[in-house]
Amino acid sequence: MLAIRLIGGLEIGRDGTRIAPPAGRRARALLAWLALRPGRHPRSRLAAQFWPDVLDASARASLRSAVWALRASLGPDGGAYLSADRETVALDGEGLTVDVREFDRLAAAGHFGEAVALCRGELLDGFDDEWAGVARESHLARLANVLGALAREAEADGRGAEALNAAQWLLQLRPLDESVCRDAMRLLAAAGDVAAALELYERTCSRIRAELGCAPSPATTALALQLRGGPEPVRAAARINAADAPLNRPIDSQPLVGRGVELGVLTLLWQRTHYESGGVVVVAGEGGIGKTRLCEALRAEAGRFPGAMTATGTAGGGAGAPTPLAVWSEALGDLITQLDRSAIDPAAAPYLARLVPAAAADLPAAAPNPASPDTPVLVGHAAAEPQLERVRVFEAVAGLVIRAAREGPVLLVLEDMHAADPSSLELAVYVGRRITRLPVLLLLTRRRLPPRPDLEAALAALRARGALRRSLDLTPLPTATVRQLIHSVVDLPGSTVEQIAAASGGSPLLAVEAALACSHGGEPVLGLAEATRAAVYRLSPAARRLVELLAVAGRDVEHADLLTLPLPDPERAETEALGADLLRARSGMIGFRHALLAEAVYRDLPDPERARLHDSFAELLRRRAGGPAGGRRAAEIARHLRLAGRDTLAVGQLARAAADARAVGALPEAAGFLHEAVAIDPHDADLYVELAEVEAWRGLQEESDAAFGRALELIAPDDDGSLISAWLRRGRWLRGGLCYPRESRRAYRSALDVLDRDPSADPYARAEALAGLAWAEAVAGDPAQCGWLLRDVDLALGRREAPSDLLTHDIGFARAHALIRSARFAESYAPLVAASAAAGRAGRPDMAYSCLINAASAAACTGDFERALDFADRCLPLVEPNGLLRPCVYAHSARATLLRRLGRLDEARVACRAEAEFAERVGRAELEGLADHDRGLLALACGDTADAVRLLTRSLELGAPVSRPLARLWLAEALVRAGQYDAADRQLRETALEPVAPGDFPDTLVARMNRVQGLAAAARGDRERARARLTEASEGWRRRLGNAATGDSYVAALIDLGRPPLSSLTEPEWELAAIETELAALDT
Amino acid sequence: MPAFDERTTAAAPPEEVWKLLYDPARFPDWWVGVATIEPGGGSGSGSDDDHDDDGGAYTMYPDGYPDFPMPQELRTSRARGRVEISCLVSDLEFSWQLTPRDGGAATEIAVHVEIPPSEAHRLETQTDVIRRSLANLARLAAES
Repeated sequence: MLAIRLIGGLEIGRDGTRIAPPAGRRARALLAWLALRPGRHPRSRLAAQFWPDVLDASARASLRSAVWALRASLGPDGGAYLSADRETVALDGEGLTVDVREFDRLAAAGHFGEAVALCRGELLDGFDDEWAGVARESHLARLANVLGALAREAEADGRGAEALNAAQWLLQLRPLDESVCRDAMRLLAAAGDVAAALELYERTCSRIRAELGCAPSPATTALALQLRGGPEPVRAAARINAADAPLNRPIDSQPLVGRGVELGVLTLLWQRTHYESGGVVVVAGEGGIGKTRLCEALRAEAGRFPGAMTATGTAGGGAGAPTPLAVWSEALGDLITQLDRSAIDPAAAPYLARLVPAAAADLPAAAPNPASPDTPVLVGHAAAEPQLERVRVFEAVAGLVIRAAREGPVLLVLEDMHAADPSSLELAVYVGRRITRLPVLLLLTRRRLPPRPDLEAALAALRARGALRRSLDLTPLPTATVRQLIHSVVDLPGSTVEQIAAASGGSPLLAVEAALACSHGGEPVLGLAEATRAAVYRLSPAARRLVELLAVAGRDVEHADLLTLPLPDPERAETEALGADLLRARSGMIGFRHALLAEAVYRDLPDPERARLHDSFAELLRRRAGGPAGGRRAAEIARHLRLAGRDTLAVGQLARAAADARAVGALPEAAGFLHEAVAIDPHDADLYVELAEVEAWRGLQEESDAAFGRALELIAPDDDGSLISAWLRRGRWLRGGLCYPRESRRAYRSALDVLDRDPSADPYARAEALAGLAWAEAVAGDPAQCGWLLRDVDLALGRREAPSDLLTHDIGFARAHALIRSARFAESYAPLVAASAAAGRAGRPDMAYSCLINAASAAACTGDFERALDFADRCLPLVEPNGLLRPCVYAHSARATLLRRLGRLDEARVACRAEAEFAERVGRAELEGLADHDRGLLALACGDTADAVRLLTRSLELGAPVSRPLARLWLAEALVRAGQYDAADRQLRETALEPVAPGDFPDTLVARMNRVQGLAAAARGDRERARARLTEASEGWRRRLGNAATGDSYVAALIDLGRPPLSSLTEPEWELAAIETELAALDT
Repeated sequence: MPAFDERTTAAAPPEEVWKLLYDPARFPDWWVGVATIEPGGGSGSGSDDDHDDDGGAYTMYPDGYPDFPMPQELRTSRARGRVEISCLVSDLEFSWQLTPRDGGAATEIAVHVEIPPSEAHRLETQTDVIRRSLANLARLAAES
């Protein structure tokens, strides 16, 4: 017998004895998930559910590991209920009981009391995953139905107390449901407690007013009147009105004082965006100087323009690493609510939903890519490489802003960017560059101190692109203006105003707070901390607690959330706090009027109290995280848990924060969360494996190796499942994040070593390891081994088993590279095309592209440039509609190179233009350098030597991912042809000092340099030297005849450049013919 | 591991020295003891070494031993920015580095040689060979 309880937290009983749940977080989650859902579940679904941000193969490997751990923890008897085959996993069988399944069974049978008795707490208490939140919400809805039925049944049967209990419980679940309120009021009155019934009425009315903005229904009011025996009391109405009042705070509605010039400038810039061009504006100044107030005034101005949309996000808030792109999430959430759903690109919806989970319901559903009906590519359905995912997220945001701008002018305000995460800054640059010709104004506010080099770099990048329209520095207000400001807020004696104005140092915030403090009587307070403290001390305990909670939150909090805080009367507290001039209400959110006020309150809190409040707020966020609008809060929850001193609990949240960061391609932030997690729990191997993978995708090999080494130390030597999973993941990231095929080979061999301990174990893992090893051997080992290894893949799977699409891709890719390595280039086409199709079926256009661009390069190696061009053309429908911008640049680069080689120069020019446009969209200097490089070579081919010199020079400056020695030689040739011989000599010298890698085809460089030296000598009239050098060049190429491209050199270039070689491939016959012509010209 | 360093200055610009170092076909012209060079013949791809490339394989035949091929690899590394030449038969490693002098009219050539312990007895001979080869290299580059 196996009994699993999920309501109130996970508990497991086996034959009447309680047993410990699995130690691993994922294994526990898997158990709970399966226990909730009877029946068999596809492994693919489970893998995607629990490891959504890793490659499919890695996710399946992790699933195998989790199933193994689960089986081990349930023991031989309990494990019998866990049935797993190649495709599915289930938790079922005679003798298995799950309380939530029992709850549903009893409810369906009408045994409401027994069903309710099972509910000793929240379903899946302690589980933070999104699916758990959804299940919790669903269960609460079912419980509400059962409680309603129970209340009705008990009332009808005369069991008044039981009916009242059920109704009151139900009211906690549905506090705004007036019918429930009326039932409870009736039952309370029937029990003789009319006062409690009326108190309930008041509470509910206030809540409905505050949250729904409407009056209670006549039926509820009539019941209250009936219970009172008279008209509705004045006191309740007064309360309701008082609650409404703070939503229009007097201070915020005052005219802007002392910033008229700045507001005029900003308004002018805003108006210009409609008719001329958009861009970025920065408002800088110290805290409290009036940046926020100025932005709000601009928003008000902007809102007057017909059809205008305005949205705001605020960065930072509290200590600790912020959620990546949080400031954007807030602003985009604001913007999406103003947009018609049809204005949003369905292809971008999945990426926008990652950033703004709360807006997912407002986004259109993703659709298959209509641009390539013949290619089975699912847009956005599978996780690609993190760098590609990052570009897709950025592109989705830029696309949303661009589409919004088609509907009307857009003002985006991102506040406090000095506190923003690095990814938010990058995205600001990405979007800022794209709006210069659109009616969009992106307004950034920042403090000058402390210095933030990456913020300065971001603004410099915008300036360099001509996207930064203006920077405004807000300076302290003159004393006379401060006086005017104080008078606009409160009436104070002239001497007090003078005293405050002089002490404010021109800070409007300080002046207003000090003036407000004085307006309540007593001596003038001249510091912000003192003024804030005075305001807080005037509050009732409940209101003070609310203010303190908001200070701990470090950001605005939804009004509805505040009502769930552990306060005796949160509504009353909120009303009072809003009236105390510390807080403000905006768009359903309540927060401090200024971050400095929150900081002042926070600093005054005693440490133990602060920790307790952080704990309360973490709990509030945790509850919200499970709901449909609660996503991307893990980093924040972790921060609060840590500040509450509950580090151990924070570990899971940090791991989730890292996954959230990966989902939006924020790898440095993901690594930061994982580093923090392992610092707390240095014994969790899973965390270290995750960290190793993230560091690998960042290209940090040493860091990745160190984390992986630590993981290996922590995994028990006999924990085969974890070892296999870890080695397989490492094998894959070493061929993706880090191009290090030799180490990848070692990883796959290690995985196979563990698998060999039990030859019958996990054929799928064995197949994956063998296919990975086959690729690694093909690229960096013995290609002859590849065929044998792929045959072993077939043996591992057995005849009846067809490999998955991703495995089919891996097999084809490995086979093709073995052929390429053996210089059997033409034979590699078929496996590459098949691998591309399999990758497409698996929803991985990035991998499908990689196959075809390799095919293009292989065809170029055979000299079949038409065929190569055909393959390159077929890349475009894979990359362009899927937002794979970097591959777009590479695909057009390949096309430009091939078209130039084919002499189709006009078409090459078009390809170069497209390449440059995509490079500009990515915004990476090196890609723009690549576009310059290709345009430079085209200019050289066209005889436009001045352009060639300019473009090739810039490509070297920008660090284009090309062979630098070769690019210098081409530049030297262009300089010779432009008559700049001394400059050409300098480039030749620089060539000799450039680091040379195998991908530079070093054995051809000497011949190439001799040729350029010969051309230079000929141009200078030194025929003897020219002949000598050209002859040496000719001999050099002659030695390479018949050895145009070797598989080794191809692979070396692939590893060096990170993409298949095309522009640096060598054609000895072609080169030799050119030199012979040049030699002959010397004799004429 | 026995090792030694040698250096000299050639009255030639770096590119002329570079061309001699990067062209195995020219080794017999300056490398003492090298009679002929043929392309290909390196250990190739199956090796388990830590280098991330397999390029530049060729076969050297020593003076007086036309039937004794010695596979070589001309390795390059972008990170280290130097030319390494290894003898795969005896695991000798030669690393060359070029530094421009006199505004590029001259070049300082530095070579670092590492000899495995099993070949330690060759230290004195190799020191002499490299010293003479270095002088040849500098002279030949200056004549280019």
